Amino acid sequence: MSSDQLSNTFSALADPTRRAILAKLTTGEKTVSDLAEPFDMTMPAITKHLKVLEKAHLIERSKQAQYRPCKLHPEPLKDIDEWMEQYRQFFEASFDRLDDYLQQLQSKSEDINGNE
Amino acid sequence: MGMNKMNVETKERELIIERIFDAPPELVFEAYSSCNHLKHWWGPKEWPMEECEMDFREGGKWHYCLRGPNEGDESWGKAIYKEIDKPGKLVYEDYFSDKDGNINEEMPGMLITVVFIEHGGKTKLSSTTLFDSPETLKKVVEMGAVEGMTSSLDRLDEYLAQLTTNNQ
Repeated sequence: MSSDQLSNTFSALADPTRRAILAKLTTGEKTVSDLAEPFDMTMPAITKHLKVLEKAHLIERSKQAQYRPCKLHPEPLKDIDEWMEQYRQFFEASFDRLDDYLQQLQSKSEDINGNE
Repeated sequence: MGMNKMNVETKERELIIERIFDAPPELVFEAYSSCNHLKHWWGPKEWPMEECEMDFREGGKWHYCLRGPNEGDESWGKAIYKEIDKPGKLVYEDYFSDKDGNINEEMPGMLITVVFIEHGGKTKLSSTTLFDSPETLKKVVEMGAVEGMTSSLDRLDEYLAQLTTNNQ
């Protein structure tokens, strides 16, 4: 788990415009002007959002085509889900160890109690 | 472990884990209350807690680091104690942080409530983690964590459509 990558994903998703861009991309590749249209935003403003999404690996932009169409890359969303799962495993593993540790403590305290 | 069965429940932003420990609540509570105890059990075996500073009182902080098997693998956390009711209840906020203790604001914080109940000479521990997170995480969790998210674009489509409706 890389928390840097996860925090990039979270911060990219925190903005409603960027989430709406991702929603549009679920129907297929779009050019920047396709994406700009419904938001009543300037091209530079949209481009800025796209850069954030690209950096978070939530979209891919074609390098070849002249208009560099954008494509959805949903993997980081699955990483968030996986992170939750890891968190659960973290607790379970810790509690297994706590179980053993409490046994150790109690067998020790029986010895110690004799001296107290 | 034998009869010390563990119950796990995930609902929306909550993760609830219940478990019975063969020790009195006072001792289980104590195991939470100092670095000396926590270093023996906090974190998976492969990710032991190697650094720890703690001020165990309400409003006090706990700053710790878990190190993984590969060089450079480390995860710093910072907790703030909200309620300490020995030996029955412990409430703290847990955040991702850096080694200087600066909280990573972009990652969701977690509110963790641990309840210790006497249970026939043993302790029934219940740990509830509430993910205090952007709406986004809530949706991702609703969609995925319970059923195990598939790569299905249909569901992603549905989810994003829902997000869009909510935000327009």
